[in-house]
This record gives sequence, structure tokens and C-alpha cells, in this order.
Amino acid sequence: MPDPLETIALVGNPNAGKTTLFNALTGAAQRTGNYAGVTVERKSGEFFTPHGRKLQLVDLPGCYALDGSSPDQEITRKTLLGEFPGEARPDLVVCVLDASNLERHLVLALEVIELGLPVVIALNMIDFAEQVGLRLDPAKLAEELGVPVVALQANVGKGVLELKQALRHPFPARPEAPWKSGPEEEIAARRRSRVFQICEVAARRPDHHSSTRSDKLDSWLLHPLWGALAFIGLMLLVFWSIFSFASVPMGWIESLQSLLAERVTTLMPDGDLRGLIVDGIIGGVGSVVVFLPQILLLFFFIGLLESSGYMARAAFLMDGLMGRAGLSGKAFLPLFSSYACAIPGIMATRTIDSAKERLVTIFVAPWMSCSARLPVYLVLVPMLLSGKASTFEQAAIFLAIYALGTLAALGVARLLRGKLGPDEVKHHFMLELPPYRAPQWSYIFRHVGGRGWSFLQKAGTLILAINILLWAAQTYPKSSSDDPAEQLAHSTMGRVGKIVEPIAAPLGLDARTGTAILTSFAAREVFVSSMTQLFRVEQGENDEETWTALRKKLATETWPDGRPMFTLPAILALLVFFIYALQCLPTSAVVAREAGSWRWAAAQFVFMSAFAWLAAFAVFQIGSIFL
Amino acid sequence: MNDWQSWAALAAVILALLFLASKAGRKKNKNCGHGCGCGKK
Repeated sequence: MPDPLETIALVGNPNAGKTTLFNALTGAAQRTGNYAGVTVERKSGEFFTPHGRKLQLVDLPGCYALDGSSPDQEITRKTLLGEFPGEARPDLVVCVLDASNLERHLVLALEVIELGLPVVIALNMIDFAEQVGLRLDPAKLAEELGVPVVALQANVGKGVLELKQALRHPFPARPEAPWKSGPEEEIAARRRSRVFQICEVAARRPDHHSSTRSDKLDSWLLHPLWGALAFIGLMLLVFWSIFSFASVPMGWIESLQSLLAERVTTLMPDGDLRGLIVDGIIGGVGSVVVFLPQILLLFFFIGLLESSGYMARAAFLMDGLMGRAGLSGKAFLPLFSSYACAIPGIMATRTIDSAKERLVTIFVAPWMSCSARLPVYLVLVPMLLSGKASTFEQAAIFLAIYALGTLAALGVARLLRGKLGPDEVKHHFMLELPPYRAPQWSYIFRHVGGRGWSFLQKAGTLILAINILLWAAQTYPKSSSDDPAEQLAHSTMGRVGKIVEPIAAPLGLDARTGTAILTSFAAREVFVSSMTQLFRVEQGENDEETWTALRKKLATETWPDGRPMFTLPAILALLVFFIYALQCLPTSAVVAREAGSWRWAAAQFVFMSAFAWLAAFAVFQIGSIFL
Repeated sequence: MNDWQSWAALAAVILALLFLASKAGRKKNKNCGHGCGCGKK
């Protein structure tokens, strides 16, 4: 049996360049997984030293100190102390320091050295330190710290070979220092004064402080007015790009979906399996995969903003506004991302330190109106205006729809944050504003690819299974009639629709619309196709034609006593229901995964459905009095 | 009537049910920690 690989742990403050160094060392051949019991991602890879020795490298979450209690700090500390079940302590630690920020980064380095593990210091971004006039002496630093120090520029691979050479075997053993002996304040003070001493010897500051390019940019981008305007402009650009650039590949996916469905229909004889493949699998899974371009684009922009250093500024700018909802600036991006799709938005909550704030953000994220609601809005909004609407009126209604979702999300976040109480450990919203840098394209594309694959893998398997079951519910028991509407009414789904009629009636809706709502609980956009089927509307050449035909049909529908069915209050109630209801199984699956419990996903589903029904009920009943 | 298609569709439905049941029944690691989001710690 071969010897287990020796493990090197990569430790450092956020933005020290750990991931860049990880990619430079391993050639980005990485494996991702989760730490036992937590949903924080664990990234590991392998590489060879110049001496031909194969080593395993583990990239630990970035943290400022080891003695805190944020998820990242706890994971880093537990890994270094070998406290994860089944995992030994690493054989060596590479501590990555930002050379231009030596004073702060040395605090963590001292803590790591105190643990008694063999340590090599990677002094990264040495070029940037020189640019700001810092003169560093790696040899003196090594002498002061008692561990090897290698100066690097990980982004261009400079110094990486020297670092590999420094990982010589056997690793230097260090006597285990008593960690955390004595009062905490005393230890911290001792460390600070040691850092000061080391910097006096190993680093020489410039005589006068000259402002860097980043300082100059920040004087604009962090300005209360210009900074806010730049931020709004940038976010609008990102949002617009996601919608407009994604439409082309989304069209390709839809065409591929129709082509596949057509091929299967021509190749297979009529039967249940063909129905399952065409409607359940191709149609169902396709309705999820179609959002992949938007997700990839969103993560591309997140990666771009992160990699360039702007993301930290965005969180800083939004901290005040989010604070009113009991959240911090870090919740802004996940919530903003959810306008495109709640799934990447919920995945982006991983950057939030406080577990409670993270849960609250996950809870309210689906209320930011996502793009899957658009087809429903596009059918219903013109009906509100009797088809005579100007673009301005339609835009105003769309704005109101988005505002309704956002305000409810922020209000509920505030209530929930108050209900959950303060964190056991106070999380200070500490942000490092890294210097602006040119984006690292390889990092961005890997990030995008990884997220896209994870989306397809996790949501795809689950949604496939659920779509098969939904198809069965819409197909069995079978009716002898050839009419699709009759067949659906006879099926399990149709029968459940009849049962839910008393729930739909107080919203001014009949059993057919109730059934269509029911089918849309797997994915909202299914509502439109169910409505066309249930109200026997012919499919048009394209979506717009079908929607126009559906609108005309609904406008003429009446109750058995002759009253019009889709009155203004009924359409408004339907719209409000779709703004607030959580009708997206992949979102629930991702919530369960990210929140670590199906119970949390179930509670969110029940709360949002109940809220949606009550809001729609209030709109219909009050609207019926006044309109 | 394509009977084989009905049987194949039924098999797919059963497989989907089994998959979801196995996912729902999967034991969770009780050693939860910060960041797992369960709110216990």
C-alpha cells in the first residue's frame, strides 16, 4: 500500500493571494468537497516538488486570526490542529502574506508559527509592495520569524519554483509552543509588539506616503455621491448584461430542447415512455438548464468584480442601506444576484460570516423577482391595462412588481433578524479593501465553470427526479378522452386541482387556474404552458403569439353565472401570488443544501406560500370592493 | 398500445421515487459547526 501523501495547508488573510498561489502550485488541478459537517467548501490538489516528491495541497478559507469563531476561522483552526474527524494535522503550513500589508498579515503568521507546525512563509505581491515604496528584506524576516521566507508574485508565477524548492524533506520540526497560554489580551498585545519589532528590522517604509492608483480610484469610487452613482451604474450594467447576453444562448438551449423533443417524437411510437421523455425529461430538465447562461454570466461578473477588487468596495458602500434591514453589506450581492436567479444568489451567501445573517439572506432571497417570473408577468401585465398600455405604463408596473418583492424581502429580513437574536459571537463587518488589480481570467473562468457544473449536477439530478414524478401525476390515472384538458382534469394533478379549488376561489380563480398554479410549483414558467393547455389555447409560432392568444382567451372567460372571470382584482391577485410564492423546486433544493436542513427549506416554502396566498386574498377582496 | 413503454415509464417513476427517498433518508452529520446553518451552534 502506498504511503499517504504529505499534506501542505495553505493559510492566509483574505486577499493575500492564496487561491492564486494554489492555482500556480497545482496547475489548478483541484478537487472540491465540503468540510465534514459544514457546507464550507474544501479545495485540494496535488503537485510535485523539483525533487520529484508528490504533495497534497489544501487551500484553507482566508481568515484574519485563528482564535475567532467565524466559520472560516474555525475550519482553519480545526484543520491546523487536526480536530476534523479522520483528518491528521497537515505536515507543513504555507502561510501566504501580502507583502504590501505586512504588519496586519504577520499577526496570523505568528499565530500559525505558535501552533508548532513546520511553516514556510510565502511573501506574496512583492511587486506591489515595491510600487508603494516598501523595502522588504526576506532574509531578515526569515531570521526574525525562524522559518523560511520566499518572496513571490503568484499571479505571474514568479518565485513559485523557489517556494517548491523550500518545501524540502524532512520538514523542519518546531518545538510546540504553548498556544493561548495566559490572558487573551496579553497574548494579543505580545503578538502586536512582536510584529512591530519584526517590521522595524525587516521592512523599511517610504519616507513620505504617496497615493497609489488604488487610492486615487477610491477617492471617486468610495465618494458618498460619485461612488454611489458609479455603483448604481455598474450594477445596472451587470443586470442588463445578464439579461441581454444570456438571451442568445438561452435561445440555443430552447432550440436544442425543441429539436430533441421533435426527434424523439418522430423516432418513438406514441406511448407513455415517449411522453415521459418529451414532456417530463426534455421539457422539465430543459426548463432548468435554460437558466444556465444567466447563472454563468452572473458568476462571471461576480468573479470579475471580486478579482478586480471592486466587490469589497460594493459591500462597503451598501453596508449602511443593508444595515436598516438588519443585514450587512455582504448580503447585498446575494440579494442583487437573486434578481437574475435565486439559486446563484443563495450560493453567494457563503461569503457572509454570521450564520444567522446568512440564514436570513437565504430566507428572503427568493423574493427578489427572478427571471423565471418574467413569462408570467409578461402574460398578466398587459391584461391589467386591457392591451392599450404604453411602454411607460408597463415599465411602471414592472418596477412596482420588483419593488413589492424587494420591500417585502427587506422587511421580513429585519423582522427575522430581530427574531433570531444577535450572534453569539459579535461579527464585525471587517472589510479589507485590496488594491485594484487586472482581473485574473483563468481564476474567473474556473470559478464560472465550477459553479455551472455544480448547478447542473446538484439541481439537475433532483429536478429530473421531481419532473418524472410531476409528469406521472399529470398523466395517471389515464382518461379515455383524447382532449389534453380532459386528460389533465382526470389525472392525479387535476384531481388535486379540484381539491385546491376552495383555496383558489377566495382569490377569484377557478379550478383550472388553481391546477395551473399547482403545476407551477416545480418551476414558475410552467404556469403559462399549463394555462394554454387548460384553457385550450392553440400554440402559436412563437411565445409572443401564444401569450397573445392566451390573453384573448382569458379576457373572454366567464363564470357559469356569466360574470367575467379575469377581472382586474383577480389578475392583480394572481400577479401578487406569483410575486411572493416560492414556486421553484431547484431553489428549495439549494436552500436545503446551503442552510444544511430540509426543515429550513420547508419552513421557507410554507411561509412564502402562506404569505403569497394571504397577500393575493387581501388584494382580491379589497380590490373587489373598490374596482 | 405500447405496453413496454408503460412498463419502462413506470420503472423510471419508481427509480425517481427511490432516488428522492434515498436523498431524504440520508443521515446528516451530527457534528455540525458554525457555517452549517442549522442554527444549533
